[in-house]
Amino acid sequence: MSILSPVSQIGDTLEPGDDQFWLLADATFIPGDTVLCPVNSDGTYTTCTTPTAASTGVVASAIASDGVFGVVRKGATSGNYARVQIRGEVDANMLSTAAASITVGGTFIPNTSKQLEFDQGNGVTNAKWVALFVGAGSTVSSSTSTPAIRKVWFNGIEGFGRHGGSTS
Amino acid sequence: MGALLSLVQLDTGRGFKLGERDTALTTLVACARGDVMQLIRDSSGGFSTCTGAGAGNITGTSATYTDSGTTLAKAGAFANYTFRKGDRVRITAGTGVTAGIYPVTSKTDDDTIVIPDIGANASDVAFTLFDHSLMRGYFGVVLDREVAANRLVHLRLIGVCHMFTKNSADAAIAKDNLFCPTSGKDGDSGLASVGLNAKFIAKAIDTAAVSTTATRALRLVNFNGIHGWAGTYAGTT
Repeated sequence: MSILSPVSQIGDTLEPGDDQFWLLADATFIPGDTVLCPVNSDGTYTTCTTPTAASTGVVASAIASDGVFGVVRKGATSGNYARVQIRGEVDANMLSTAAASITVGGTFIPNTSKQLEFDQGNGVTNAKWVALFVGAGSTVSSSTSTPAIRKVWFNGIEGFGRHGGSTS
Repeated sequence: MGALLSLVQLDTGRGFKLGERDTALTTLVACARGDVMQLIRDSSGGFSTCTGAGAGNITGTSATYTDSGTTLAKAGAFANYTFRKGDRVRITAGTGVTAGIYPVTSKTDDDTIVIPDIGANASDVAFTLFDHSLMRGYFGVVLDREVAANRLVHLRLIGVCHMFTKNSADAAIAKDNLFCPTSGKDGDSGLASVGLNAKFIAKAIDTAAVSTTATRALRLVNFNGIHGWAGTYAGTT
């Protein structure tokens, strides 16, 4: 994730950026929640809401849509402003529904429960990868079906590519 | 030039918008406001010219399939096609075919390409050979009203702009729909037409009503012709 690429004394390094904004919440959100940022008619983003299935990039009727996502840093109740991180290193609520081992560099898609989901079958082909697991420096291999806060590199704008699935 | 979108905090201190990156290049063809143009890389690795995006997909019907060499043949169909590794062809219909998207193995001549086995007795094949340049290029949207060929044109590379958009299947265009470039200098949200690996370059903001979405019309989009929106179309299941 070459969000920033400063030159260090030992060469080029990759360093995540830190894009955070105050967005009007339409429900209660807590730190670690992944939220959808709907675009306004003038192209601005001023609110956040719970992600929808259609916002993840999954194809329906030969059309794909996807949203801009963020991770809540400071929570808020409905009608108040949450601090939301759009890109960069952040602690996010994640899981593997199938209890798979979550490996460093593993890719995640948003789900409609405000979590990052590691499992990706054919049903989510074309979904936008918004996060890479970087937490703990090692594989998480137990109890991954229970949502937990773990560190990721997050990019809710451009993402990290898409889940390829199978073709027909 | 940074390839990622810059995010700009709104003056209110609450909310954000996408930053903008523009450039000026010499266009090799006449173009007008909202046209999608493809940047042409020069020998130095930079970009100084642009042209209409791609040559377009190649479609054909009643093509002949020969199982012994797994070849697909139609007279003259591939005359303007240059094979590149990773090219894909969609077999859409035919007798005894297994429809789907297949990699192209090679080009034999202007009449024939080699593909994987699509059915031992396949015949009367309909196909779409996808234009690779629409998958791998860099794109910009014309900001000027009208520009003649070989003149300087101002392009938006990243940010909000009005772009010619359509849905070639005449389906409704909704907010956040993703568009891929076409050889008609516009963006198409109809994935069956643009095909596997087409680059997502824009997202719909408004959905300005026109009588038919299959006809190109200017609509406001969030454009990213460099990085694209999370890459390319990954296909359906």
